[in-house]
Amino acid sequence: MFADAELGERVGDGGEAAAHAKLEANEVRKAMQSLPEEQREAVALVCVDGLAYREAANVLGVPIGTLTSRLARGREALQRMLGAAR
Amino acid sequence: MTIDDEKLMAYADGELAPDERAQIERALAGDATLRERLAAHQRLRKRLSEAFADVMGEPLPESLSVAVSGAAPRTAEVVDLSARREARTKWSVREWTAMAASLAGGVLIGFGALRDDPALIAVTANGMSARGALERALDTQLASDEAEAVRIGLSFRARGGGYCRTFELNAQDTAGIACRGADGWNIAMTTAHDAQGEVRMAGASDALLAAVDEMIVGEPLDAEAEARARDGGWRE
Repeated sequence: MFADAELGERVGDGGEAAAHAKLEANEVRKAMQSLPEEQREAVALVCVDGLAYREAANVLGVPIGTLTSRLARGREALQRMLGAAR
Repeated sequence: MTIDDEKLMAYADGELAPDERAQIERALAGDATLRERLAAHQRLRKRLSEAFADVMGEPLPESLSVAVSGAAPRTAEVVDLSARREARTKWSVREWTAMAASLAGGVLIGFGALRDDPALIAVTANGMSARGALERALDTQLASDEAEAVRIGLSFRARGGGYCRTFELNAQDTAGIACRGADGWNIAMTTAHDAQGEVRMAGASDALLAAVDEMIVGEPLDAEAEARARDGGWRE
């Protein structure tokens, strides 16, 4: 279980890989929930939804500099919480 | 030279202009610590997209997932293209809905700087759909028509049936693909330009064309077929 079989997680054979993926997902989502809302939105739009900075800034109605600083702070906090390993 | 984290993050996200990108790449070549910081950004992004993809569960409609997975530029200009492509693939309609609800309860999003203007794209329970001038243009405007707020590019038939059209929002540096659904035009993808101008614009239109290429059945409609499809209300 040191290396996740990328496909294995998704195939969902009900085995350890699936359980592991679920735990991992829970951990990440919990960390996201603990972020201030502004940072969470920025991270979700860019890192989850895959929007470009400009698009995400448009969606949130903030200047692009504000978006990038929220994004940077949010990610920094997530990395602290989730650790750099894996 | 020190690279601040915000710049490194922008690099990881494929958001830097070519000269800045080259600067980062030079620094990366000689700095293992910097490479590790970059890898950490990429891993985090992957974990995020996987964690939320897992929650969504439901696969995207075929046409949308094809569009979205084709959305990343094909060039090798950014290191984490695969991560970005992955994030795009998992771009979820439901995530958009949840996000819209969290944004001050607003359902309508004014895309771009002209935020006093009526919204052109609305987030609905079915994802993003065209509104206002964008919806009107998609319904009625031909590629050859004088462009006002919206310029229409290619019209084509997508896999799985139905018509799709590329559009550009002139005032707002945004381009995208909309596909005709049962009750309107669904936004299959959007791409934004930035202040760096032409290079990014070229990148954005490449991404758009790559997505069209993934979605299209046959050739784009010629002027005559486009007019016929419009007159038929973009129905099958």
